[in-house]
Amino acid sequence: MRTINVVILAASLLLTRAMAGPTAPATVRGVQIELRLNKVAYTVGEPVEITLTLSNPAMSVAKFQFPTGQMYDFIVSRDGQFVWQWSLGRAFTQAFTALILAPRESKVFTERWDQRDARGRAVPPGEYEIVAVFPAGDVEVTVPARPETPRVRFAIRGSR
Amino acid sequence: MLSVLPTADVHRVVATIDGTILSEIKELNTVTVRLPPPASIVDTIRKLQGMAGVRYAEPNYVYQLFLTPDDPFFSSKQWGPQRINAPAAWDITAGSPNTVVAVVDSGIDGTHPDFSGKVLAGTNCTTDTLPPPSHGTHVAGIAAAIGNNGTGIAGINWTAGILPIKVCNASGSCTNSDISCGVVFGVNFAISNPSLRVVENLSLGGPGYAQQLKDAFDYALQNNVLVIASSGNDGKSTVLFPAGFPGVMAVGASTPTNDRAVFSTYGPHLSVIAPGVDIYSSIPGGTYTLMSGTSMAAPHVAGVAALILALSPGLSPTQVRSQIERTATHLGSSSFDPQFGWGVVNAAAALGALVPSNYGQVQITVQDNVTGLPVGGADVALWVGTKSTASCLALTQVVQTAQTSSSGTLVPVGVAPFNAVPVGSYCATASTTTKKGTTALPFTVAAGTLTSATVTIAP
Repeated sequence: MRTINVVILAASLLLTRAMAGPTAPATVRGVQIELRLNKVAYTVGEPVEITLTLSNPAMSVAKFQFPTGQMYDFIVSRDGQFVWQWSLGRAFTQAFTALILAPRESKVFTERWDQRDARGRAVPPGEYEIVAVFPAGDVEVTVPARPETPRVRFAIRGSR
Repeated sequence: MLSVLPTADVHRVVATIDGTILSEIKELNTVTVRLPPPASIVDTIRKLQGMAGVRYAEPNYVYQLFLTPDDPFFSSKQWGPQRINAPAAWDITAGSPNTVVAVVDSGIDGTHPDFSGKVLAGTNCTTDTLPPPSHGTHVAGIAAAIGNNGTGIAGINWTAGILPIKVCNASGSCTNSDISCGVVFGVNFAISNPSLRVVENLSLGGPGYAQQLKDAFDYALQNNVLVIASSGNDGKSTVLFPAGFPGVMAVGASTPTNDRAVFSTYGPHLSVIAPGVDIYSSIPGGTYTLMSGTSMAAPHVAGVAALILALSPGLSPTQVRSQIERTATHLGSSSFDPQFGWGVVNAAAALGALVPSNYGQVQITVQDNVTGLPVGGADVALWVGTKSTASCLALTQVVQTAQTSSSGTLVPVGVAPFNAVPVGSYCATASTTTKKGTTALPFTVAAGTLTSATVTIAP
């Protein structure tokens, strides 16, 4: 995982516009959350780059507390069936962890999915959907927020 | 202090240890005895406890003279050592450099002044090369910061070495393969350094069972390495992994008022609880901060385990575990309670007379009914509560589960090891997707022994 602090919110927005994948927004306590993929379609075996951006547009500090070292999760499904979850196969430090966003600060988290399901098998070509989960203490936000926001869908093309 | 039964001759008992009676309280059948130099108090007490007619033998503690370390934050910020009775323990031992706490975590700041001269050459099992975050350094300080050095805090064990093993990245995420790498590194360190006793602390957890992790922890226990892990911070009734693996001590978090912290995961697999709320300890940069979580509770117990091994280096992991559990201060009930395990760890009591071990080892071999060959990857469950002592029918409660090894790397193929099974009578079941089986008869697990059984599986 890479974390990049971007002090100027505008800079991060310019950066994300240059990327071509599908996006979905959500908001929690005034903080904007955006889930973004780098492409709308991938060839088989091509890593899926996943980006979660948290932006604090306010002039006050935003603080979230997590019960462990886990600040987010990503879940991939196909036709409503679970395929893969980033946190599977991981443990997390068991101390309470704070995420603090200064005024107009953004944090960017990036992860990669290698097109293998929860049992380690290569997934077939097809249409897939991804959501992000932001387990911030007393609230758990899903991105895109259900049910009103369009899904984040992407395709895997080719043959295995 | 020695107490004998009314029918025993106290003078004869004292004569067997060449002691001198200093005083006697006839109403209590007790005497205070001076031992001849250089007799070991611990060894002598153990000898007395095994003699007929002896009710008890214990050190004559001087209670008002507990060692108070001069670390400036000991009195002003720390409450954990006091709550687990560490100052009284430090009167017996504050540790030994022949013990090592392996901090299987996010890396540590080895330059911290409270670790001066005690950080060993560890490893990084991750691809993350960022500077260590606070977590691992905080955990290491709780277990083994130098005490009575006029600096910062007092760890539970002042002189144990710290073996930093990085398995989590800077944000606190740890993959199963990196954790396995770290656990095995700590075990191999212990194998390569037979004069040292190693305790591994894992202040991390997740919900998923993984066979690779299970094999790594079995490897640890089979090589005399005790593993202690956080129970979890979800406040639910099933401890996370690796704390949930058989043989791993699951440690929950307690509050300053000896309650279970609301976030502390509990359940039948919980071992003990220890301070885990607002714990003051070291962080990178030579400073200190408060943190909360079962991450903070586990290293209190790891420090105590290293104290026990400093005093009694010959104890096995299950003996150390029993010593901690059976001397803990019970909460909630007079014995085990799923909310508190065996209670709040009591460091001084854990350094007292040795208690009998609660645990034995079990190895279940699963074999195919046609080929007779061992079967890897079979699910195995140990059961208690059979309604009949003469058969394995009507099984009612699973106590531990495991899979038989497929690789044979750390455990023989087809064998499922259970390294800390409470003494008692058990049955085992085994299954694959196509076959299943049960032990024909219950088998007995005795303290400190290895019990082997075979399950033949058929369609």
